Amino acid sequence: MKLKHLESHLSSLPNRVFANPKIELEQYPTSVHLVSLERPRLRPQHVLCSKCLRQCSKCSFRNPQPIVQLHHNSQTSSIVLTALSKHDAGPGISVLDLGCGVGMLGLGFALVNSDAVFLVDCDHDALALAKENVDYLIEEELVGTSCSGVEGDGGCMSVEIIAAKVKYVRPKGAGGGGRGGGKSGRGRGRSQKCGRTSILPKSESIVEAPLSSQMSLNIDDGIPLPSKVVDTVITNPPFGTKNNEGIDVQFLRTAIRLARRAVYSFHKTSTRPYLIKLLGSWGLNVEVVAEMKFDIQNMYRFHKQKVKDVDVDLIRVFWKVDGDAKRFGTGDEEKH
Amino acid sequence: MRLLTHNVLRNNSATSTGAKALKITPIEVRVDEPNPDSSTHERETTFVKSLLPSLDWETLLSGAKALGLDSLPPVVTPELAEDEGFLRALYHVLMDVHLVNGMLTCEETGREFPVSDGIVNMMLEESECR
Repeated sequence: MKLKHLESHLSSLPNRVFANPKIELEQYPTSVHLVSLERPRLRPQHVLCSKCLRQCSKCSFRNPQPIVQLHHNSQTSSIVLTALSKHDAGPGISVLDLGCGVGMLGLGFALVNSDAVFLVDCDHDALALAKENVDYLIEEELVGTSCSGVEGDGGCMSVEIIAAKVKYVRPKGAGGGGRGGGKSGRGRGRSQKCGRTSILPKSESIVEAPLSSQMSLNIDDGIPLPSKVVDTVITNPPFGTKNNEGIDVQFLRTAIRLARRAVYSFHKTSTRPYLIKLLGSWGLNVEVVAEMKFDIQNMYRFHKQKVKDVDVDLIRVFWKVDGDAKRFGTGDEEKH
Repeated sequence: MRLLTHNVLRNNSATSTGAKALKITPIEVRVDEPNPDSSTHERETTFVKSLLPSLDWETLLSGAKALGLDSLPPVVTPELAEDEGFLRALYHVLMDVHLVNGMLTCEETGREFPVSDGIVNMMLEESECR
């Protein structure tokens, strides 16, 4: 689908902002352009070495991996079309938007005819707005039935909304890290009964262990769905600035649990080295799909500047999809 | 909420094993008409066929029954899995039936999860997570 069309459909959604944004949930609007990608011409400083995923004069020309540096206005449609090009969106793909807010990202994925989209958020007010957006798209026959869709070529067949909250566990002070949440997961009979490992602190003491042996796969994360329930999970998590440090990692971990194929997530560029190390220790592949600036408008009373630019990475976490038939529903944790 | 979603939802709280499906108590149900346009049928049957291996059939049967649908067979045989008529009927049950208002109940713990305006509320309290 053309960028312009996707952008224009998203622009016409009735609810693109939060009526009364809740500061503790870090609610801010995702600009329409965030969902569509314009590719600016790359200059040498935009080329990053794929190994260290950071600007490295030594190796950047040995293994260049272009990162598209986005103008802060090109956003939702871009992500969707990028995902489409990597077969993480579109017909045959199921998607979940974790922390969907009014549903911009998830609906962008629906508009490119992904089979089914699940929108998950903890805020009922936001979900009510998301529902209006979904109803609008159904009314316009852009999603909702197999004969809808842009250009009528078979649209997203299902957009479902679920209210659920990703559990936040406060990490303990430096060194020890926090304890993981609650009782051992008893869902689905496959949970890890071994001891909890900590929420990894932002220090060098990263536990190097395969993902499956950590509580990371513990489904006691507040989301009532089995592991590997969808192909792709997209999430724009809170960044942990409101007394909830580390919550973006918890969103990421939950997203990884729920996905079979790929996870797209946003994180502050400043946390990139930490995340690369963390995901590497979990045996996962990660690429920085884009660097962007979120321009947060002056929304809350404590905001002093008119607009603040925050450097943000869009990362894609992925693992090899095995040749088995796509499974929806029963997560097989040993696949990790 | 569609039966598609109900099929995968589980009570994830600390007091439940999450092994059993949630019981549906409907208050308002909406059934969409199956799509008359046959050009879309292939998309529907392909989709349903890909879901079939991982659907929890018992859950689907009990969910469908709770919503007043009786059309599903008790067991899916390999022949049935290839049958276009069956796949279309399955698509209808999974995708065209919406629980608009109602309640999902965890039969192990009695915990209730309300469904209103098609949105199911699975939010757990802090206390339920530990």
